[in-house]
Amino acid sequence: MRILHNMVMIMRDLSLLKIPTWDIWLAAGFSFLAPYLVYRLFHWLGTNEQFMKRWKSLKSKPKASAQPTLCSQLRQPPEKTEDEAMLHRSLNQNVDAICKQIGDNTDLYLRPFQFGQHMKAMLLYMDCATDKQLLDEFVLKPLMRLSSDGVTDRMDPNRFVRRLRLEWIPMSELEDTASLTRSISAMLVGSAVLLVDGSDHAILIGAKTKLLRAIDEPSTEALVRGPRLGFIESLRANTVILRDRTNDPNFKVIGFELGQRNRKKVSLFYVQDIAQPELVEEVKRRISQIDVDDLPESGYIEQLIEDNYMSPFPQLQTTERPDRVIAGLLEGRVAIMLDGSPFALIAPVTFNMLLQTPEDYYTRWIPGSLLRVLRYVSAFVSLFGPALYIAFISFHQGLIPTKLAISMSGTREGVPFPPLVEALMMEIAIEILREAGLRLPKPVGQAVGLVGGLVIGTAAVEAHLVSPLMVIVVALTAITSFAIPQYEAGVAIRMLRFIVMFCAATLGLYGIILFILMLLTHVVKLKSFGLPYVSPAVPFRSNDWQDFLLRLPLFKLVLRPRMLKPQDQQRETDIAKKGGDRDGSGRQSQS
Amino acid sequence: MKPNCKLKLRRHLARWSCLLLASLVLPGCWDARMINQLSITSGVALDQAPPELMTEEGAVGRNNGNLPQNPDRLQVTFEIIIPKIASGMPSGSSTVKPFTNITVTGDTMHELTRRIALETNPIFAEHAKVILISRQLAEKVDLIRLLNMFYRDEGYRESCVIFLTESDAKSVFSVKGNDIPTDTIMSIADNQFRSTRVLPLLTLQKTMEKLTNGTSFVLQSLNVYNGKLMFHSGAVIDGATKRFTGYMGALEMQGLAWLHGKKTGGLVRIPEFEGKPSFVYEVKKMTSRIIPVVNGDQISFRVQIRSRGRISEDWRPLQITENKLDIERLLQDSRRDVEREIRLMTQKTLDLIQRKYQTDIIGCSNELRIHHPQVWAKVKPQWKRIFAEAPITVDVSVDIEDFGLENMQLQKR
Repeated sequence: MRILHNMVMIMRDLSLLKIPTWDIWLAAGFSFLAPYLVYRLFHWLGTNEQFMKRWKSLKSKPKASAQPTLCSQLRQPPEKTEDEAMLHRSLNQNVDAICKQIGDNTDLYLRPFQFGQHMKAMLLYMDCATDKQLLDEFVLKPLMRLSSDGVTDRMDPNRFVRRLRLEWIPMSELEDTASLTRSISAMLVGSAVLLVDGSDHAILIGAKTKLLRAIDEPSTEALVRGPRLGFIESLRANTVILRDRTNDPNFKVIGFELGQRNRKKVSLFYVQDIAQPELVEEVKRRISQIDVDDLPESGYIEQLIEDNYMSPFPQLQTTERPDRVIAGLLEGRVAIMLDGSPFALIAPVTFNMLLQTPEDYYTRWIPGSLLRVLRYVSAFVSLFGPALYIAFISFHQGLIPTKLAISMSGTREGVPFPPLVEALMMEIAIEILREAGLRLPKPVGQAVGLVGGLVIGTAAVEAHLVSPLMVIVVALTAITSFAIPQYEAGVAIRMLRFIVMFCAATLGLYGIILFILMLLTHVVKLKSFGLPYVSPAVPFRSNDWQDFLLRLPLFKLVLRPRMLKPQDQQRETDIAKKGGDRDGSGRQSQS
Repeated sequence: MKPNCKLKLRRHLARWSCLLLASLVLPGCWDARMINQLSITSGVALDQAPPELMTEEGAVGRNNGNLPQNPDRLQVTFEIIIPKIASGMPSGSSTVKPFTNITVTGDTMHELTRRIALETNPIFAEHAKVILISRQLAEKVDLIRLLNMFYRDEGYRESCVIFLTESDAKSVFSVKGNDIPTDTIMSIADNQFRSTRVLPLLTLQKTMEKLTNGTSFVLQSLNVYNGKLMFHSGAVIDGATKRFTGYMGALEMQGLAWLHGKKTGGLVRIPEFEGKPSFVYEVKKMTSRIIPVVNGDQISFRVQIRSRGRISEDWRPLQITENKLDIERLLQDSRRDVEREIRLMTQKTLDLIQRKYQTDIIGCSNELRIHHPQVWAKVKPQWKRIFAEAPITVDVSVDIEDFGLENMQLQKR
């Protein structure tokens, strides 16, 4: 009886809970079924072999069409061009032909001399481009001595030239050519050309003057701890610097010559058994498609091979530091260097790289991690500082703590502008100061920055043009933007800051949220050489988080970043410590 | 530019402008106001309008409004902060008050608030911390009606604290000195750990919960003596009528704190008793439990009070002794005295609320509802009478764990 009573009570209680009407059930069913069906569909498609085959062939088509251009443009051997002028047997005609093309240059230098009685020869070079001391010592001196011997008189001139090259000129950079065009172009970049009467072959003597500046620490990427070593403007020297620090035989350097008018040497560096082959191929393809007159700086290459020209973010990392390049290569990235530019490009790049410095790895892991977190914070402040100020001041006064709200209100008393105008004025002033300081000579520039900042700030506050708090916010954003180690990333954030300020001024925090959403959609869509830009975060790879926001101790970083799909996944140096072998006596070798 | 690129760019532009347009048009967030154009209000005081403003003629002249006669007319005072002075900017002399009071008269709260627009910038109430209600008004008008607008309006935070004032509520905002009165109130309210006479704060949220539940409760009341602000006593609000019924005395407030058992500080003075001088017990912790006992139709309650604390001042003759038994006796004596005193205080409180006010402000009804829902459902309509008649017994047990630096052996017990 009692149970029955309880049952009735329970039923009555249940009836209070309204059973949903049919439309809610329908909606619930639909919201479950729709994603599930889509999931099933794609699962089925993924497992369906026929479909996958057709899909893959569909996707790979454009790649196939790109293939021939890759081959045709890659590594053009210089001797294979069609319309090349050839050398003549007569010395006079050859000299005339050369003089016809470049004879009106004042720095063309002709040095005629003789072997024995009959054999005339001519040494041609560009005056300053060629090292005259080398020529005197190793070309003219032995040849003069040779001519006095009188051995050469009755020899066939072509054979004589061959013997000259093989036996008598003790220099390493010699080239035998029959092409007039090749001779001229070699001469223009500093080789000397030795022509012998009666022979249609010339000897190109590589005796280029080396204009090298001293290797010093890059001023844009100064470190407290780390090698004081930066790249210079010579690709050859840079290659030497890199080779010096990588004894790995798998370290590869692939050369390109780009530029229609001024041929420039471009090198691609990677470690063969680490870097993903598809990545290397893709970079090669993009580089070989570059078709411009001249490449004055590696910034040209960057702009010509990047993925998205509309994006504010740099899609290649530029660095002057060899250690950074090598670290990138060992992670499975590739580096591109241009002759004449001290800036190496590292690809692919992810957003977190822009907030890292090599120092993160050189100092111990706790300070390294904390400093890295600090940089993330400062990037956030630098991007959203003025925007948050505007939003709070003009929309969300209730979110500020009371005391602060009162003092903010007090300091804004008498300021004639809305916060947006106030912020824009100060931000633009700061940007101008910064730009002006960059262009001026260093000591003057510093003075301009300091004086300008102080004077404008205090004067503006005293004139009640801006509130003192605004000056603090602007100064804070300026300082935090200096904490971003990559100049390009800093510029991106400075640009975006202005957009957020407008968003905040029209819609408050809501506008900032909208901006963040837009930025996130852009960044998530953005790819650098096929690698998603915010990679360890989206797509999520838990392994790579070891070196993302924090930098875990070195022995924890056993695996190379998974996002780069390296061929050799394990870092060798870490194995010993992981095995508990702390004195390092029995390091396991692993290949 | 390649034609392909152009097309892409155009599509980009179209897409972005669509997004921009949508995000500009869709939200209702266009109400940007500069922070310095707001009247930052830190407190609101509700009063009954003075008699001359209740009549039609009185209202016309003084308030630019054409109001008919209304005996329940409200007068509301907003304490508006002057940021320039309050933020300590070096302007003007230091004798200027950092706030102004604006008083308006009207029939409903929202009307009043809007009338401010005739005088100064609109009220910005998100920083309001305090709502004061004068006793006169609370006696006359239902509190739910008074607080309705504050509760509905998202401009007022739910964390506003409600106080009752013995004097005119607006007089609190014109006390002597240059401190902002709401700041003074809030900093005194922080002392609730030091005194059993400062009640736990009742926010707007909690007050509304109690009012709509029909639960009786105690509001902290303030008073102004000689132009000085003081925390006065506890004001009992009857849950049935939702009006002020009466004050509690100092001892009753202490008893109430013991019955509530939620405080963490306070003192108990044990007065002279049977020739023994008084001493002071400082509470470190107190807990109380109300246990409803239902025996047929008979409902009674047992309140279990436990406390830990120390003797902080002792006027009794000094007894320095090594004898264990003596120490034990001293401790027992003190404990018994403290327990007796607490029992006395709680009994006084119970007398007051059961006999005089007949309001259950200690939460017996809630305990009954939780433990015996069926019984509660039955007695709910006549709860006021049943509570007044219900026998309530109080068990007190006190643990003295510290005598300070005197008689240190006691601690090593």
